[in-house]
Amino acid sequence: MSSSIFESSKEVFVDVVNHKDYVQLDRVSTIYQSLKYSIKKPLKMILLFGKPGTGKSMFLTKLYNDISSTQPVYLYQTPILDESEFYKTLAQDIYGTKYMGELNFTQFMKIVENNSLDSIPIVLLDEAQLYSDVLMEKIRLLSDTRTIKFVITLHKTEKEDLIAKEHFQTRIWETIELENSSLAELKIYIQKKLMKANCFDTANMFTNKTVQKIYKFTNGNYRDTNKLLYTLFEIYTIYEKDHKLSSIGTSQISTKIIEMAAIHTGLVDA
Amino acid sequence: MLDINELEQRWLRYKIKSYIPHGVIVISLIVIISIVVLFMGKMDTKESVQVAQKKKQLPQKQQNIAQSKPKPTQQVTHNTIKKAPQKTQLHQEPVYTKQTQQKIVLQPSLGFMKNMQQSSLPYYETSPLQNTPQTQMQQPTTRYQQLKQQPKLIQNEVVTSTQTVEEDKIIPEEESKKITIQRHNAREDIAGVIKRFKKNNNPALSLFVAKKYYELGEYRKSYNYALITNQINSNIEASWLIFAKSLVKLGEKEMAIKTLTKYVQSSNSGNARLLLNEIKQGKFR
Repeated sequence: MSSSIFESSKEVFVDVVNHKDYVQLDRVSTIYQSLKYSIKKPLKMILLFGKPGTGKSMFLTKLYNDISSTQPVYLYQTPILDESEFYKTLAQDIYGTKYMGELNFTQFMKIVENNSLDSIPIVLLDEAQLYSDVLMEKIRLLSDTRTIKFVITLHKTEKEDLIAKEHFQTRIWETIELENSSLAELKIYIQKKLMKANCFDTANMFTNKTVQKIYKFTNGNYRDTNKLLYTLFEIYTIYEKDHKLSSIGTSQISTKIIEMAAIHTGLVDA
Repeated sequence: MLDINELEQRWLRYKIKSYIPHGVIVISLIVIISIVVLFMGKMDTKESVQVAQKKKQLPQKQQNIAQSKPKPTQQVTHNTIKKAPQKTQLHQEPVYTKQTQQKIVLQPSLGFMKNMQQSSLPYYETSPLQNTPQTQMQQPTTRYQQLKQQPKLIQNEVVTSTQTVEEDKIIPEEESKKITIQRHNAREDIAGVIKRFKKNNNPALSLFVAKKYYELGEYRKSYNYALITNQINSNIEASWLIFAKSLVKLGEKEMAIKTLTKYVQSSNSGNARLLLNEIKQGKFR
């Protein structure tokens, strides 16, 4: 086994949102197709929600990259918390109108009315739970005019679930829930990710038993799995450098290393 | 860069910590299983003893002995030679009890010493001689003499019974270990009393032994010792009561009624009459 294998495998699991890293799993793929289909519907708003690390941001990024060539779509991964700044940004990006000074909802609506577009622009808002209730209400009013279509993502926590209910459930639209992967999906996810980066040797090291162990720590959460596997391959790299690989073996991922990675990433209390 | 050594140490601590609950569970399971196995073993023994006791039948020979007891003196003297086989039957009893003792249900003797102190000794209250029938005076004496001639056999019986008890150590279901110890002591004490009885032939001692055996549910033995007591002193009311009760317990209700009726006629004992009525009415079983 070459010395670069563990290094390159480690890079595969760097936790960044990149549409190229999107791994096509059956269930995820179905959800994604339904999201794409919903975009075409005359819906005002689409709500994408799920626990942190279930791939909401990845979904938005993937959607943005897939449809940006065919229709106007704007992705805002970082929330714009100031209301005026929010309107100004939309006015500039969608309608190309630069507005100096404060811009309120009424003024923004005038800009929208004065600039008619061929197709309805789609605005993708990530981490929407960070927006204020007031701003969320304005976004709802804006979507009611059917001049802008919004796709927003929300963390699904107890509190945020309440927000989702209050703001959206009575008025909607479309809700898509994202969940953690199953055990089988997790194995496919890991192996597909590694194979995409040509790391076939390390992909083969993930047996059912090792994936089961990983699943035990991460509960199928993609973000936690990425963190764990990044640390795992980092440990493997160090062992390799210290010529200690023989002690843990390379035929399959060592349980000891999985546990060490879980301890280091804080997934397990030791 | 990760500090692998520190991480390995943390991993080691984690492994030790993760094995602790398993260790505790395994140890607990071993303890529980061993307790259950011990308990089940004792339960099985007790159940088998109970089944065996239910199946236990009174030999016909015993009826002959008991029936012959209240007979008049004329017959006794006359039948001395005839009764020889019956005597042997009486002395064969230890053999019978020795067999059944293997399956005897042992019941705890709670504070028997206290009971002994509290219990009245009616055998000291000798009733007038003219009240007792002549037959009763003579018949027990001859029987006692016969018994005296066979001390070894009785001794064997006692030794066998105590050994069996010590070997079996059957614990009653509802009693704790403490009770087991008490029962063991009771057995030892009975053995001690029997030894003393053999030395001085005090009917108070044999009556005590009869009572204790009756309390322990060993009705065959209580019957034997009550009979011995009656032979030594036929005026002890308690001894006749134990004798009759033991007979009822052994399934010889008719015999008990017959014996008790004769005793009531001769002694006019209120307690005996009461017991007789209870037996007749089926209240005492």
